[in-house]
Amino acid sequence: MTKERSGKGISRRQFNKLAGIGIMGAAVSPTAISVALAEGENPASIIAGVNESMIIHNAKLGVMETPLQLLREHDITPKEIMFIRNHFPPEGRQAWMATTDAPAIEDWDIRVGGLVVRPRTITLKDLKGMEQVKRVSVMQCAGNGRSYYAAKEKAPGGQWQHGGLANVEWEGVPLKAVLEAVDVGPSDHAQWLTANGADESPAAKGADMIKSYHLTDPALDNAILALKLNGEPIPAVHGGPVRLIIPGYYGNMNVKFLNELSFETEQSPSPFQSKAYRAVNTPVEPGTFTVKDYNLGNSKPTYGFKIMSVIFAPLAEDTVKAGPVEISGVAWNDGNAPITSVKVSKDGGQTWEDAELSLSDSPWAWHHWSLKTNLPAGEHTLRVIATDELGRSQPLDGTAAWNPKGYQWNGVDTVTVSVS
Amino acid sequence: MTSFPPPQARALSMAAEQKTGVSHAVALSLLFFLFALLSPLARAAEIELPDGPDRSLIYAKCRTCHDLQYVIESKGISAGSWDGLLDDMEGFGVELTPEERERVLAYLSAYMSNTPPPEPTQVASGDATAVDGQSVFMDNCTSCHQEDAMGIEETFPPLAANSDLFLAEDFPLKVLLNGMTGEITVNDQVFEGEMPPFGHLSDAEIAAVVNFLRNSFGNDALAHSEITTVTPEMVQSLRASEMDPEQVLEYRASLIN
Repeated sequence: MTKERSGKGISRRQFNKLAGIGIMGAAVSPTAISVALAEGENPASIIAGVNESMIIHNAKLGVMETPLQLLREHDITPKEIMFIRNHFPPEGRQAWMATTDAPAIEDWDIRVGGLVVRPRTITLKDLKGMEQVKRVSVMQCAGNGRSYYAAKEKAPGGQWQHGGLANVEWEGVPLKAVLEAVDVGPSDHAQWLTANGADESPAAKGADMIKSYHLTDPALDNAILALKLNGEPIPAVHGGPVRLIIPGYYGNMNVKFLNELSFETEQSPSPFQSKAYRAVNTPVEPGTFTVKDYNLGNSKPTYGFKIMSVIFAPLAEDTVKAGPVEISGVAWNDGNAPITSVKVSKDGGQTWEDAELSLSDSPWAWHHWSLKTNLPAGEHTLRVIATDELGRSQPLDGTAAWNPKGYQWNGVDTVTVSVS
Repeated sequence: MTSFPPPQARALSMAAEQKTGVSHAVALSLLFFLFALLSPLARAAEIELPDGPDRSLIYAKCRTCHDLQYVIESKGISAGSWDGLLDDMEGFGVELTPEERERVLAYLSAYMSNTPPPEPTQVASGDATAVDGQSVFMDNCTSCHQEDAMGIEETFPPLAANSDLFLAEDFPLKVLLNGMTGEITVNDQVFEGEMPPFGHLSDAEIAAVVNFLRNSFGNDALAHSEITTVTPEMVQSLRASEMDPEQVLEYRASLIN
């Protein structure tokens, strides 16, 4: 066994580095290579198969976001450019997670237990044999946009811009169908469903990444145990072979490498549920509310996406010629109500025009919008704001929703372009 | 075999390894030149924080789980936010005594603020005999290798009864100065983690901790006559020849074969 593994004479990092450069050499010009390397590590040397232009937030963890110049090129985000947010280093016994390839695994068990009469195990093979459904949905990090809170007071953690965002197609078995099939007989006292994955902290006393959902949460009706991403088995780095997907919910709620579901009276005491990834119930201000002040009563997990819209074109780094210009981008929400309006401003928010909105078939997907207009030479501040049928919209000043850890940014996006 | 690590994860790990080996072995030789040519200049493992009192504690405690880019990206948050962040990290698993916590917080609030104090001028590297190798070990190594030096299965190798310490006189010094990345086998167990560099420690500290380890945790039984007590001067001379963490792994392989 040991020989099998050590006999290759090359480490994961080394291999990935080689593979990454191979991809780069084939796909991009020498100039692009030198730029990517001068800035630090090649992303593909950290997670095999990812695009070399990804923006690294933490190399050891493989945390990286997608430049909008790449993200805007696809309606369905390819796995190579999909943002990555893992909580533990893909090293040691978790080295297999460091790739966009699917895990080479046939035997995978998900234990279903807790307060039940008959604890059961459902296998990957069982799941493959059940009826599959698709969910086209946005995947978004709860910390997406965190960097913009710095306009009020900087929030700790990776300083994400807008690229902790993807729009992908998941495919798998509805959670409710799975729970019905296993027929574990949950106790009447069970209030919460808790999900755990196979990832673990390297620290001796490290906390596990565990999430809980109230059993009455209607979002669970749309949840699936996903086996495929964009038509292929889920890449290891994105949570394969099985990931719990709750469409419309922030990334951390979608447990990767799922291997345990349990019925509980209380939500998990894991700090990933009780302290981190929480949204305050009422607005707070820097200095008056800190990380220490979160409790189960004054905050809740980062469940559904706040309504949001982002400008994809033009971006600040684009060359824009004076004359006819198409301003475009995407908008999304938690899928609970259709987006009804997207308005664009060319003058920093003084006047607004209706953009043309093209609603996707899936309520959880992003929806494209565009405005054909004219821009004269000079500097212009573009802004975009979305509203949905429930009247939910975005704050013109996103820092109004400042919170100690910088979650759930949904301030009106602002892009300043120079038109020549 | 105990249930740790889960057999499922072990099977997975092996399956992934085999797959990698089979499908990409051919490409490796073709890409070797590119690899040598394009090795990145700045690596995440080498992210440095401004020099200041107790910087080494941050290096020792935080890099078990993530590299220091998170600290760099958080630069400028308020002292209160650093305090709260430490609460978070303690929840996630970092182990700090109250005294260590105070020192970590003092460093972060000062040197990772928007108005950091000037970095101290060069400190004399001192005499190896004046530095306590055991203290250096306790302060810098135990977050990963554990206080009993037994490590963590598959991720952090033991420093107890570890013959790597005697592969060559300079080998552990090179590991400390440059880090080491890649898969290794120690006492028939495979590890695939990343040892970050500890070149921020003084020459005397690095010499002292290596001398301490070679005489502790059952390692003295593995000692042989070619290995002598290392000196700060030896560490100093090795700093001139910087290596990649991967090159240290290659050096290790050359000593074993």
